[in-house]
Amino acid sequence: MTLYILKRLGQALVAMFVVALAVFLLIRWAPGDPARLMLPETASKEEVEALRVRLGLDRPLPVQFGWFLKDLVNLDLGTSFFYNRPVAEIIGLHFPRTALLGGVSLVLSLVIGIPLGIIAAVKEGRLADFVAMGFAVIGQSVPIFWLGFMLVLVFSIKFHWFPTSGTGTWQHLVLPATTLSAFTMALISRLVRSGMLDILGEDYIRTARAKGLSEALVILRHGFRNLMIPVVTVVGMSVGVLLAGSVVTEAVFAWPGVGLMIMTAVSARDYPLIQAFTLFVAFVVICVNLIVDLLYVYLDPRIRL
Amino acid sequence: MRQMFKLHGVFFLLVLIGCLLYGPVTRAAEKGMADELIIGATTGLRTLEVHWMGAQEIALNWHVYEPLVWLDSDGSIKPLLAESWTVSNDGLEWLFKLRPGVKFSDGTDFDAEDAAANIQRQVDSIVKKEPTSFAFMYADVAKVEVVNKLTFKVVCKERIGPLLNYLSILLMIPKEAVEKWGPKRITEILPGTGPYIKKSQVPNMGAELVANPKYWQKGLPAVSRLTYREFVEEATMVNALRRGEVDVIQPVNHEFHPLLKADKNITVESFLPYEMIFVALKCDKAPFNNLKARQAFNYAVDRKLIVDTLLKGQGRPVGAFIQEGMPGYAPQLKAPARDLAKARQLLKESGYDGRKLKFIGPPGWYTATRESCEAITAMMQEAGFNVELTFLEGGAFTNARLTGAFDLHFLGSRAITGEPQRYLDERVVTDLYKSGWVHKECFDLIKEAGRTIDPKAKEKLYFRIQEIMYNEVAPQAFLHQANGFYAYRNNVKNFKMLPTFTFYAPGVVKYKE
Amino acid sequence: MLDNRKVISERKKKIQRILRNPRIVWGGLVIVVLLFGAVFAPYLSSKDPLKQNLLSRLMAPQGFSGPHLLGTDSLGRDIFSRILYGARISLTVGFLTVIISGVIGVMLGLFAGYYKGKTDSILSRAADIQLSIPVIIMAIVLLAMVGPSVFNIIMVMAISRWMLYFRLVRSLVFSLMASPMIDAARVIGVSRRRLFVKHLLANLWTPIIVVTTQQMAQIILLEATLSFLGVGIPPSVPSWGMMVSQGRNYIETAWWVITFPGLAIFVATLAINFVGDGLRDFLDPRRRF
Repeated sequence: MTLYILKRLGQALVAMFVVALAVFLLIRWAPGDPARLMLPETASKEEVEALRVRLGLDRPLPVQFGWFLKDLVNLDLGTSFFYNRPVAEIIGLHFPRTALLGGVSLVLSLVIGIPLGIIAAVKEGRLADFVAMGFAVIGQSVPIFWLGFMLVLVFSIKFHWFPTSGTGTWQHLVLPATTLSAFTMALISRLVRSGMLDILGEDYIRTARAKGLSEALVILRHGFRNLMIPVVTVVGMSVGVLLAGSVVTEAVFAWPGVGLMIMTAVSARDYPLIQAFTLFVAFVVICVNLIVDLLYVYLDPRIRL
Repeated sequence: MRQMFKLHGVFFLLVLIGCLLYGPVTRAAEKGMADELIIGATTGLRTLEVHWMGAQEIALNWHVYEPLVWLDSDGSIKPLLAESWTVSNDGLEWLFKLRPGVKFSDGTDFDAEDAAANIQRQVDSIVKKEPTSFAFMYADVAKVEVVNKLTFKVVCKERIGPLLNYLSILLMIPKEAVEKWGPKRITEILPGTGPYIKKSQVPNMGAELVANPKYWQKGLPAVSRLTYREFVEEATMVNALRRGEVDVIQPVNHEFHPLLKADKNITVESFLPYEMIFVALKCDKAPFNNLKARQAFNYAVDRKLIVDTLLKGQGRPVGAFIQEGMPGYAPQLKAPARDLAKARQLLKESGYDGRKLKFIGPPGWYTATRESCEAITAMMQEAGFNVELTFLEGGAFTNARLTGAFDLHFLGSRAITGEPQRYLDERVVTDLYKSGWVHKECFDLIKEAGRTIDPKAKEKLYFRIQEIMYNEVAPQAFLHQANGFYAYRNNVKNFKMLPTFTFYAPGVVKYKE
Repeated sequence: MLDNRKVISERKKKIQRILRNPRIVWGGLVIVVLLFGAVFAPYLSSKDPLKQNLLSRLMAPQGFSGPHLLGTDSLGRDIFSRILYGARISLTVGFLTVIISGVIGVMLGLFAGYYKGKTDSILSRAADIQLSIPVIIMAIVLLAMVGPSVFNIIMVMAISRWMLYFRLVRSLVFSLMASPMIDAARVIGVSRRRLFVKHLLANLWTPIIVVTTQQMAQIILLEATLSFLGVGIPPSVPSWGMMVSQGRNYIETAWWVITFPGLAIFVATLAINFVGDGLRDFLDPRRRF
């Protein structure tokens, strides 16, 4: 096991190197020069060139990449072109807000999605099933900003339960978290239902029932683990998506997270910020996937890594 | 088991009721003065560096850092930190007398050395090849001399016609900061002389300002806290106003007027901004290197229809570029009316070969922009142009403009200095956006206008310049000037927006609802 | 002769079972209607979806009493027409993206789950890498480079979506590979190809179909988000996502501009999901009802 984890961490380093290289090249291919975009439009060619030299953009690409790696090793994420402040500070400002929103959304989608799926499976074909799956399908079929605006219209403008936007109190969190969690919640509930139905038809369930164990125990003990595999997969994938920040939710609810941060950064071609942030996301995603893979082993002991 | 459910159920119900009540309870308030004014806007605050700001950032920041003079809504220059000024007969020397008793919020005096340092910083930044946003306005300044504690002199190499207008957006920072930072972008919050002190500024979120007890105008500001909240989606901003989470919002698009006007707690006001919407043409490449093709474009676009429908009549079609309210406004150059037959005829005569033209539009947060671009594209196609519209992303759009990779592009121009010289210097003579248009007589006139201080003489020059550009339909075809709108809750008084898109909040009073 | 009849009646039974499933029937019907609308759009609506008429912008739906069945948008274009023509774009984009990303993801997932070891490591890390580069960044940069067009958008979205299939299939293949059924098949000496198709894929249809059907709506909505952010389908082409995005400021003042395309997306997705569910019931070998 330890060997496996070490091996994975080694691979993680390689993966992160590839991410760093890929993003480094990708953003430099996009049209638009950061120095040109930073200076007032009246700046002359010489002035743009001078800024490029100061920022190190005139050096050959391998040299720039080398500097980037060197800084990384020293745990220096560089200075943002756009904000002229350390990148770590900028990310540190925005990330906690996104983490909060993303975390609460994920928890919400699990807490509501899993029970919903179980109920739908157990009461298959009956009203509860239709209602639950109805909600699920709706949750996956509406545009996020439409859902967000609708929630605001109903729960904020009509009934003054929650604020329309911004951050601060837990009330500010409810509507954006609900909006962001809708899709994942629906997806999880459907996967859980589908998995549960498969399991409820399994032979070993019939055997367990025949043995006389109570229904609930049967479901929980024997079926749960297996159906968690696709759920865990989805959760693992969602973390990556949520981390990068749902730009739309952040825009609709004026929630200043990393989604908006990265949008501005890309528009301004803020190379250091884009590179550092992507690397950060890569790191978290790789860690999460490692945990997910370890969970697979726990959930299904038949899996051999 | 059932008991437990009952208990949990009751508890849950109580929590739910508590949440529901929270709303109404917190809204209860007595009449009286509220001490915080919250302004919502869609412009982001990207920097703490006052000499590197765009127009709308200046709108907030001049509540913290003041300029020497300011531009009133009628276009006149009014004293602020400078009490009075004179200009020598040859127009090369300006003498400024500062207001006594002004202090920075950290207690140090504001004097002529500070003012001189600020102006000198712009000049020096050119030399050091790290120009500030406004450096080019001071390119013709030879030196700045301090005469005594409250007087300083600006000596120019050439006459700078709009110097006062330029100074209206140069915000004053302490000379110690100038010494410390030089032309490098400042990344810390500095003390200013204004009615507010900037407590904090968070990217993508906004800024918090608190009243400056040392402010030189006694009794101001009326509201002790000013919060600026940034929004990305206009609809969200509008909803926040409806719920009372912000007190003022600007700008507000026409789409939301019915909503806001129907709300009894909200007032919507309009102002005439110094903003011109235009389509820039690439004049050094076919087809627009031919006057007939440019004229065809002019007759193809139905300016009046766009204003009447897309802007709901809140604006005016224009032909010449100096906006109403600015010196040199030439209403005699009327906006051309649409003439489809003429447009088709002219286009044919120009020898247009049907090549697909690239029309680029700015990134699409604002619907009115998108609609105008699409409408114009359709109108052009009716006249026989083969044109393809693409909306580019921010960086790509700027890049395309600055490298001339377009046949047409759509943009608006704001005259935050309240005068047209800057626009003419940048977009026509220096040809920032690579339109490729050259016209010796026009360029000479522009240069001369830049050197003219006398307003009457200036006006004559601007008329002639606009006439040439109007007849040549170059380098831009001007479409319309649209009204600007802002909205505020009824308990806010004295909030006003100026044509330069700035607002002035110290005198704003807010009562509790 | 006896065999032929048996085969025919087996097939008949299968068809009967399909038709008895209400979800497949109704979902399929709706999809057929949408496809019909998309293909025969020019005959169903005489209005040009691109024709602007600024004087009749934001007109409320008139039903059959006026020229504009569902009203007009902010440039005076007929909404009903735009929905029909938009169906072509949205359905094509959704379908092609899902097919491309699905094929890539499932194939790679099979390889990773079956071969494990080094193959799995490389492919999994590739998926991680892909996942770490935020879709938005990649989309903006790529589309800035190659220019916005329907084809480019399909490719960009497909490239950003294969990982979901990959990880799902991979994890399920892991479980399957450990099951006695597979071991037995290998002992017998079943060829790898047969193993893949008959034993692995056959058991993977269910989750793949569920995920695929859900992805289609996401793709259509992602396309709307990209339009929203300025890098979507060019304005010369009507698409539901673009219509929803353009109508977002009119939610309260001109509800029809955003509601009808939103409904179109919703109905299409619902139908696809129903068909997916129905197919799942049908294909699952253990289900008899």
